[in-house]
Amino acid sequence: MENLIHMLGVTHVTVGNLIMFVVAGVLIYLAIAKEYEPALLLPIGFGALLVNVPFSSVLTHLSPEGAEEIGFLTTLFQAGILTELFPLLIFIGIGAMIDFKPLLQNPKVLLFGAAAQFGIFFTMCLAAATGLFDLREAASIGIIGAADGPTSIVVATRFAPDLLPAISVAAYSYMALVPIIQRPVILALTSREERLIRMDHAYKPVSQAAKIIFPIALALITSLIVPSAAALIGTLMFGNLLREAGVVDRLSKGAQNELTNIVTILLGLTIASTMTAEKFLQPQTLLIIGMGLVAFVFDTAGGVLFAKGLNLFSKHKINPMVGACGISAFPMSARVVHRLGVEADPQNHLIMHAISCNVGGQIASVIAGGLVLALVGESLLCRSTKPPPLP
Amino acid sequence: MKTFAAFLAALLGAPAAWAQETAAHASPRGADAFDAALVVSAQALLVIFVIMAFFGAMIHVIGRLLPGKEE
Repeated sequence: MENLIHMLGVTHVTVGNLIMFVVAGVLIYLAIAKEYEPALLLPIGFGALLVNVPFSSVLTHLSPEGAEEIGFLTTLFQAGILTELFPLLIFIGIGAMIDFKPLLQNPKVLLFGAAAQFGIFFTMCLAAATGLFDLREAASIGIIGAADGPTSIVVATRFAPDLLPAISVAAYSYMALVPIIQRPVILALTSREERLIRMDHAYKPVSQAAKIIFPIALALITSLIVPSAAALIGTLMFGNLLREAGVVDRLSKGAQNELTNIVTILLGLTIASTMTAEKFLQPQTLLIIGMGLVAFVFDTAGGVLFAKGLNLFSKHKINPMVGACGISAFPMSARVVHRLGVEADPQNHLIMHAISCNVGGQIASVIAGGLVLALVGESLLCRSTKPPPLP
Repeated sequence: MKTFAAFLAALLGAPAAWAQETAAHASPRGADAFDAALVVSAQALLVIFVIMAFFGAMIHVIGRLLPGKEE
């Protein structure tokens, strides 16, 4: 009888496990009731429940008898996260979903994409300045500001696998909270007159050939300049090529739907596998989540202030709110700016400018991720030599 | 193209060599990490701007060479 009681998971539940059940419950609540990134927060939340059950068979663990039992989430983590396979497959789907036409019609907005990566680097410096994180960890925290889950996961897996759960939860949560985060920052940094600026201009038509050449040229040139970004930008642009080629609609739709849906489920559950109480309930988790918010705020500020700076020299004034769309949270960011534009002037429709800027941000964030990998990793010879711990 | 490559190499090479020296001793933390982060950040932002400006110009040229038809 005593043996039977010892085998029950419930007799081994710790306070940490209970807190993680609450955290998981909050994630599930946010996903279902608030619809905050439900496709990811729901699997993450449910997975977090499962991995915090003592001796849970979802993770590789030692049974009460001392025998090692392989868990399917540990296997998925090894196969999909340590190899970076899942985030890269997601990128194929994202690439297939994005229409770069607005960007091809208005390429100037690419610069806003660059400016809105400022939060990444501000936060990286901030994290390093605290003295609590080394350079690689600081870079992984900063990359939350890429507003791009797969890029955050790739960088964190490479540089700071221990921080992966907090970083991925922060990245996906803040993407869902973009409307709440960006609005006050934009309003604080722009005057009413600036929000009223209209950006009326006729959009040029884009040829099919240009749409096909763009992903090929962008992937090739970026990879030649920053080889460590080749996997990220290559998968993103491959997905886009499937979309624009016009001869593989079946593959394009498969990438947009089946591939993305399946990998999203696997990615969410696998990230959850790292959310065990002993790893997640650390003081640094709160710090990382706080700094993630700083990254998003300074991304937004970087884009808006850059647009305001351009207005000092430009004859055709830019509505500075559009600069905020340089973060890659697509299309939430564009919607926020469009809504703010209409609130200021019901006839001022900024949606096309906002969307072109938003897809430019998607490209810039991937390049930023590749550059962080290159500059902090290979160039600084401080790539981790120890294998990342398994969940 | 060679000039562009040389420019990028200079951007990537010169400050990285300094940061590499700092980082090679140990995984930097504290003031050393902050110094290295500052250098990496300045460098990365500059390179992102150069790359994005280059792509902007490239799209402009592609648009000129392969104009679309009015819908």
